Amino acid sequence: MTQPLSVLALNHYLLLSGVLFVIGLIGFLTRRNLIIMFLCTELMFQAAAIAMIAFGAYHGNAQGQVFLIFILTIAAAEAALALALVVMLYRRGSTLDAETWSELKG
Amino acid sequence: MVEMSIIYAACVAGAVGLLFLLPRRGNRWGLIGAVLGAGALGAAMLALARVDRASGDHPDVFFYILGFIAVGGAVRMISNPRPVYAALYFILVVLASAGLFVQLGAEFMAFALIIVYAGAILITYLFVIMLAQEAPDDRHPDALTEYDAIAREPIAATIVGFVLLGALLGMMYRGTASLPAHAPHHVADAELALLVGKVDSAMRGADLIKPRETIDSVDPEARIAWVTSPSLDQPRAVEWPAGLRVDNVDAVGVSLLAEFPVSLEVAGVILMLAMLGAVVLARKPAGATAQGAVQHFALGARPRKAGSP
Amino acid sequence: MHAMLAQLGHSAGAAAIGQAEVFGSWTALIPLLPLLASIACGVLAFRPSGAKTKWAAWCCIAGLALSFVLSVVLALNVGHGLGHASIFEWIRIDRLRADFAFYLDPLTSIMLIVVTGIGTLVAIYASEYMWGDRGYARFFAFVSLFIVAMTCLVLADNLILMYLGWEGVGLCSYLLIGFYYDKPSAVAAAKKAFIVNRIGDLGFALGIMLTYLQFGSVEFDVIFRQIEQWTAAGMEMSTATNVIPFLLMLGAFGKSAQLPLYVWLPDAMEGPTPVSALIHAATMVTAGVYLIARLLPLFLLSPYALPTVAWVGCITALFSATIGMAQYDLKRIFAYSTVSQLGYMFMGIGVLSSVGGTFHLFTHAFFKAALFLGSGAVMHGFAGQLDVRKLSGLWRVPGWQVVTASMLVACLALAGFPLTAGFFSKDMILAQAFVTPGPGYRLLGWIGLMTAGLTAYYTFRVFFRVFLGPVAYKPGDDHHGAHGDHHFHPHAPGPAINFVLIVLGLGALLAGWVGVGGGHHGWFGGMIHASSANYEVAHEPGDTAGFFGDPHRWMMLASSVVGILGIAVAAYLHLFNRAAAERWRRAILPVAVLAEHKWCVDEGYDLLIRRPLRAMGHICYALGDTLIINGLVALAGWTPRLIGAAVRPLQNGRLQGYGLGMAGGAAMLVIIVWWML
Repeated sequence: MTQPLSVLALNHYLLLSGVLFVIGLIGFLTRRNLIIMFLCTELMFQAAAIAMIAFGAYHGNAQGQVFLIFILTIAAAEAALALALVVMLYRRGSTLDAETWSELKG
Repeated sequence: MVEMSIIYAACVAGAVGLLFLLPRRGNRWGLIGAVLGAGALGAAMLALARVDRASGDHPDVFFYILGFIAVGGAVRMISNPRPVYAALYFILVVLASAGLFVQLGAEFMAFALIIVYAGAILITYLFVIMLAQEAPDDRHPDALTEYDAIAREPIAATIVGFVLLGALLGMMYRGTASLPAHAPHHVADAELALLVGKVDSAMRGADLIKPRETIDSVDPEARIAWVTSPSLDQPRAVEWPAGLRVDNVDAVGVSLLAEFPVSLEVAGVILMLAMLGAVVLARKPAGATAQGAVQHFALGARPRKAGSP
Repeated sequence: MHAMLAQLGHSAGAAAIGQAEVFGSWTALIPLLPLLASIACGVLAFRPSGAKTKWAAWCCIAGLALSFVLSVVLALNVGHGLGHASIFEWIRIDRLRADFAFYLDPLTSIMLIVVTGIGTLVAIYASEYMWGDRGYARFFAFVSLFIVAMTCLVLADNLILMYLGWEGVGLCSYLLIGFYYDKPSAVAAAKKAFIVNRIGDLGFALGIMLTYLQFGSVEFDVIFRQIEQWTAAGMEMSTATNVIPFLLMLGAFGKSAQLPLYVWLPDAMEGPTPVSALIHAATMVTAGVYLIARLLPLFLLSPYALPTVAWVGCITALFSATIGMAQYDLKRIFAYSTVSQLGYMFMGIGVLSSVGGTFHLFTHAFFKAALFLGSGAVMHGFAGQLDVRKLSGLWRVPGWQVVTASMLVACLALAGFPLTAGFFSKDMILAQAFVTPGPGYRLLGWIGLMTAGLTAYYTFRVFFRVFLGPVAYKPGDDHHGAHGDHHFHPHAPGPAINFVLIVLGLGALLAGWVGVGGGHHGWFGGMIHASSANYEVAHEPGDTAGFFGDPHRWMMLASSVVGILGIAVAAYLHLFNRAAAERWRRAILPVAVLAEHKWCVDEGYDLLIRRPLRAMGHICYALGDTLIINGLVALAGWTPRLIGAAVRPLQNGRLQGYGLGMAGGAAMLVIIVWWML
C-alpha cells in the first residue's frame, strides 16, 4: 500500500469529485435523453466513488474501497433495471425524450 | 480566505464555461467555454495548492493529468449531443478515475471499475442506445433528434449546480481544515494478523520455518510470527521476510469479509433482485407488447400461456 | 384581638360542623328513584306501544311516591338539626371541592317534601290527564327528570351541584314547555323561557365564580362559617360581597320570573297543564326564593341586597297583578298570579321575613297547584277552552262539583281569605314589612296590601265567571271533529283528577296552620329558624309605633278586610252584574287594553333590547363577520390558493424540474447548515 494521503491531496481529490458530481448533476438536469440522464447518474456515482477512495486512502484503510464495491453493486442493479425501463418506455412512446412522460405528474 | 474566494470565482467561471458548452443549435461558443472551464479548474487547483504546506504533500503530476482528463471527459459527456459519444466519453471518465484509484493505492478497485463499468455497464448502455436510438428523419440518418440537440433550461441547472458545488466545497474544506495533515498512525500491515496463511506460505517460501513447525500467532507490530515446533516447549519468535506486505486485494478482502460480511450478503441479494427485476421487465408474453406485459404484471395476473391469444 | 376573634369564630364553625348529623348514602335514593323512573319512562317512550299503556305513569308515580316517602323520613330524621350526606366525590380541582353531597337542614326538608309531594300528586293527575297523548311516556320521563334535577337543586351542599340542578330544571322546563313540539307557539315559548333564563343563569354562574374567588369554596357550610367569622371579627366587606348577592339575585329573578325577567312564565303556559302546575307554579319557579333563603347569610353581607329583593318582589307583585286582572285566558291569569305571588315571596325574604317568604312558598305550592290542576281539568273537559268569557256556571254541570269545590278553596287561599293557607303566609310577609326597618319598607307593606286586594279581585273574577252564574260554555279548538258544537258534551274529570284536587284542596285549606301558634310562627317558623335562612329579627310587638298592638294581629284584620273587599267587588262585577263589568271596562278602556296587552312589556323589550341588539348584530355581522372574519377566512383560503397558483408550474411532471428543485434544495440545506455551524 502506498503512502497515506495528506489532507492537501485529499482536498484536491475532493475538488475533483465535487466537480464531477456537479457536472453529472447538470447533465442530468439539462439533457433530455433518458439514456444520457442515466449515464449522468452513473457519473455522479463515479464522483462519489472518487471521494470514497480518497477518504479511504487518507485514513489508510480499505473501507472506502469496500464502500465502492457496494456503489458498484447499486450502479449495476440500477443500470440493469433502469435500462430495462428505458427500453420499455421507448417501445411505448417511440422516443427517449423525458418530457414525453410529463403527464405522469402526480 | 483568498483561496476560497478564488475557488468561488472559479465556480462562477466554470458555470459560465459549462453553459457555453451545453448543446444547442449552432453552438459557436464551445471553444470559449472549454477554455473558460479548463481555466476555472486550473485556477481552483492552483488555489488549493496555495494552501499551507503544513497540511501535507501535493498530489503528483499524474493526478493533474488524470483529473483534467476525467473532468474534460465528463464535460464532453454531457455536452455532446450524441448519446453514443456520451457513453464513450463516460468510458474515458471511468478510465481516468481508474488511474486515479491506482494513484490512491486502490489497484483492485481500479481494475474492478474498468471491468464492471467500462466493460459491462457501459456496454449495456451502448446496446440500449443502439436499440432505442432513432433518427428523426429517414433521409438524414445522422440528424439529431430535437431532445438531444437542445439542452433543457441550461441556465437554471448550471446556476443550481454550481451553487451546490460552491456550498459543498466550502463545507468540505471547512471540514478537512480540522483534520490532521495525516491520519493518525496505524500499524502497517495489521491485516496480517488475520492472514496467517499468507505469512505461513511466505515464511515457508523463505525457509524461515521448518516443515513440521506451525505458526501460532502473528504480531504485526513487531513484524514477527510466533512459531511452535514439536522439539521446543516454548513458541519461538521468527521475524518476517522484509518483502512481506499486505497488498490491496488482501486489505479489501479482509475488510469486506471481516468487517462487512452482512453488507456483502445484502449486496448479493440486491444484485439478484435486480436480475430478477430485469428478467420480469424484459419478459414479453407471446402475442403481447412489452407494455402489455407491464400492465399484465402490474395487475398481478398470472402470465398467459404461450400461444394463447 | 383580631386573631383571637378569628380563632373563636373558627372553633364555633368547627362546632357547627360537629353538630351535623351524617346521613348514609340512602339519601341518594331521593334523586335516584325518579332518575330510574325517568330512564324507564324514556325507554317506554321509544317503544311504539309506550303511549298505549299506563306503565310510564305507574313508573313515574312509584318513583316519585317512594322519593316522597324517603323525603318525609329524612325530614323526620333531620328534625330541627343539621345533616350532611356525602354520596361521592364529584369535582376536586385544587382547592375547588364540589362533591355530590347533601346539605340537610329543615329548609331542605320542607322543599323536598313540597317538591316530591306535589310532584307525586301531579304525576297521579297527569296519568289521567295526559292519557291518549302520543307523548305519554315522554311526558313522564321529563317529569321524573325534573324531579331529579329539582331534588339535586334542593339537596345540594355546594353551589356547583345546585347549579347542576338549576340548569337541569331549566332544561326540563324547556322540554316540557315545548312538549307539543309541533305547535309553533309552544316551541317559541320554550325558546323564550330558555333564553330569558340564560340571562339569569349567567348572573348565577358569575355569582358562583365570584363566590369561589371570595370565599375559596363553593360549599355552603364553609361559606357560612367564613361569613360567621368575618362578621364576628367585624371585617370590612369588600366590593365582591356586595356584588355576589346581586349576581345570584339575577339568577333567582330569572328562574322565579321577577321583573324584569318575568316575561317567560306566562308564555310557559303553552306546556301541558300538569307541568304548569308542577314546574311553573309550585316548584321550579320557587327555586329563586329557595336560593335566596338558602344563601341568606350571603345576602345579609350586603346592605343593598335584601332591600333590592324586597322592592323588586313588591313591584313585580303589583305589576303582574294588574296584568292578571285584565287577562281572559284562564291559565294566563294564574300565571300572572304566580308571578305576583313569587313577588310576595321575594318581598317576604327581602323584608327579612324568611319564614314568611318560605311559608308563602309552601302554602302557595298547594293552592296554586290546585288552581292549575283545576284549570287543567276545565281545559281537559271543555276541549281546550280557556277563555273565561266563554265558560260559565260549571258548578251546575254534572261531575264538576269536586273541581268547583277545590277551586273555591284554592281561590280563597290565593285571595287570602281568613283562615286559609294563603291568609297566614301573606299576613306574615305584610306584617313583617311594617315591622322591619328598611328603605321604604312601610310603603312596601301598603303596596302589598293593595296587591292583596287586587289578587282577591282577579282570583274571584275567574271563579265567579267560570264556575258560578248561568250555565254556558263553548268548547275549545281541541275537540274532535266528529261531533259538532251542538253535540258537545264536556267530559267530567275522572277519579285520579278528583282525588288529586281533593288532596290539594285540603292542603290549600289546612297548610297554613303549620305556621300558626308558638312564639315564632309555629312549627314552620321553628323549622326555618333552624335552617340557614334563619335571621333574628325583632318580634316584639312594642316597636310597631303607629299601630295597635301586634302587627300580625293587625295585619290579619286588615288583609281580611282587603281580601273580602276584593272578593265583593269581583262578585258584583262578575257574578251579579256582568254588564257592569263591561261598562267599567269601557270607561277605562285604554288602561284595560294596555293591561290586557301586558303593559306592552314584550313590545318594549322588543323595541329596547331585541331591536337594538339585532341592529348591532347586523352591524357586527356586516363589519365583523362579513368583512373581518369572512375576510380572514377568505384570506386563509386564498393564500394557499395563490401560493399554489404561483408554484403550480413547478409541478410540471418533468423529471428534471423536480431534480432541479431537489438539487437547489440540497444546496440551500448545505448553505443553511454551513451558516449555522
